[in-house]
Amino acid sequence: MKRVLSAVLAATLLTGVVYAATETVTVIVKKTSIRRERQFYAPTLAEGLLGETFAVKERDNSWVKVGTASGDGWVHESAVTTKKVAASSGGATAGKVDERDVANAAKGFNPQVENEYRKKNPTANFAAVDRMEKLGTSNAAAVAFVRDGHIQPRGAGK
Amino acid sequence: MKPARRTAALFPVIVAAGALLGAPATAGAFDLLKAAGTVVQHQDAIVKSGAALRKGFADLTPQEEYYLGRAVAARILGQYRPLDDEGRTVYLNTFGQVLARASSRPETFGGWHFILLDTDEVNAFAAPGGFVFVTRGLYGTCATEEQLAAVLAHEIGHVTLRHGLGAIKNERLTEAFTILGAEAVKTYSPAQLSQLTAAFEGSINDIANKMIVSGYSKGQEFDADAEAAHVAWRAGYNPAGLTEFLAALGGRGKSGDKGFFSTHPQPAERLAKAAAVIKSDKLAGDTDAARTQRFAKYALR
Repeated sequence: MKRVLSAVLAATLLTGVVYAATETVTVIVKKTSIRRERQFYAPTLAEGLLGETFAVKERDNSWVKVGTASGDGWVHESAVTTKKVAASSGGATAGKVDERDVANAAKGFNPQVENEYRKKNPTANFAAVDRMEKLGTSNAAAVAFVRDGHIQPRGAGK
Repeated sequence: MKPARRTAALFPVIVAAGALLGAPATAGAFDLLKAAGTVVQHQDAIVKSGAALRKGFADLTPQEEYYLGRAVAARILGQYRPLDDEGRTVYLNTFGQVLARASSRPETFGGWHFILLDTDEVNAFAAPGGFVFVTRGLYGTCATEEQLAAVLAHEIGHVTLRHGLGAIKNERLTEAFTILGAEAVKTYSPAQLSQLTAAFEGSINDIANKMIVSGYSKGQEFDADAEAAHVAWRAGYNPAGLTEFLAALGGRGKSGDKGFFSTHPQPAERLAKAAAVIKSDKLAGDTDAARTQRFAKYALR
């Protein structure tokens, strides 16, 4: 009986390890930063683009540690969706598994629908929205803003 | 609002959230937990989008939220002109990014964007996905950086709590989701595109009318204030800026005013609720002189 229990336990642990090793996250925003530390003011290690998939290495509250070609880094959970990956689908290789989901997500209210809306609503000022979207803030600018204002962030929301 | 269906993969998250909700929580903490749940639903929606399971606004994908937000922003920018002031624009946008990083949704599909509108009207708007507008009139009401933090954090709260998307009439989404449920369709036929655009247009009208004309419910405004206090505190600001701002605002509104004063509860009522959240959730903070001095350079008074 003990042997059976041991075998079940071992199988469960092994399954758990394999399961954890194949967990991935897929980027659901246009572009995100994968950072060296689990906070927004840390330097960027790599970029993650919409639809890219990364292997999960570790989790800490709202942050997910992922593997990239440049090494392991941290991405905030609001930039990714979680999906378990079957070993037969290529493991944790980037871009292998969530393409259909991302393609489906690209349907819906999309540029094609916006273009139709624009034709019917010429007073809507999309050119000004495009300019607004180009207003970027570098991490260096955010760091300087925090430093100059003697701000001590208490962390991101949950 | 019906709860969205969850996949099995999310079950542990929901159990954990449920356990937390079962514990005693303050009003502010509850708001945060609600916001966390929103993020979970939001992320899950991308997986379900092709499966015709979607029921309501909570099932909109981040990309759909973004395109709705762009169109609402285009409506606002068709009505108001951006302030031609590069220095203050950069200041406001950087400030907004710092605050958004402390929100429950630091990352949205297209990112957060903040600009000033060139009008004396005292008002602020937040379109879905993170397009935030503050009028010159409202900006000029702020006496300190802590107060402006409260204004921006309140608008961030409307986005993270998805108040704009909640204004969309359910039948519009039902129609859109029915069209989108046909997985075999790779591009829309002219008829489908026409139907989908009509649903999109109707959704934009619903959101814009709620934001600009009728206003959110009192409960939603109080929730956005509670979220603002938490966001400001987490970002490193003194949440007392919220109550100070509301006290200053109280002296400005008159009965019959348009804009902000017609679409928001009385400042005195908001002040009392916000003060209660700050006290109960122990959101004490300091106002550093460096920030007050910095704001003096960018103030419009």
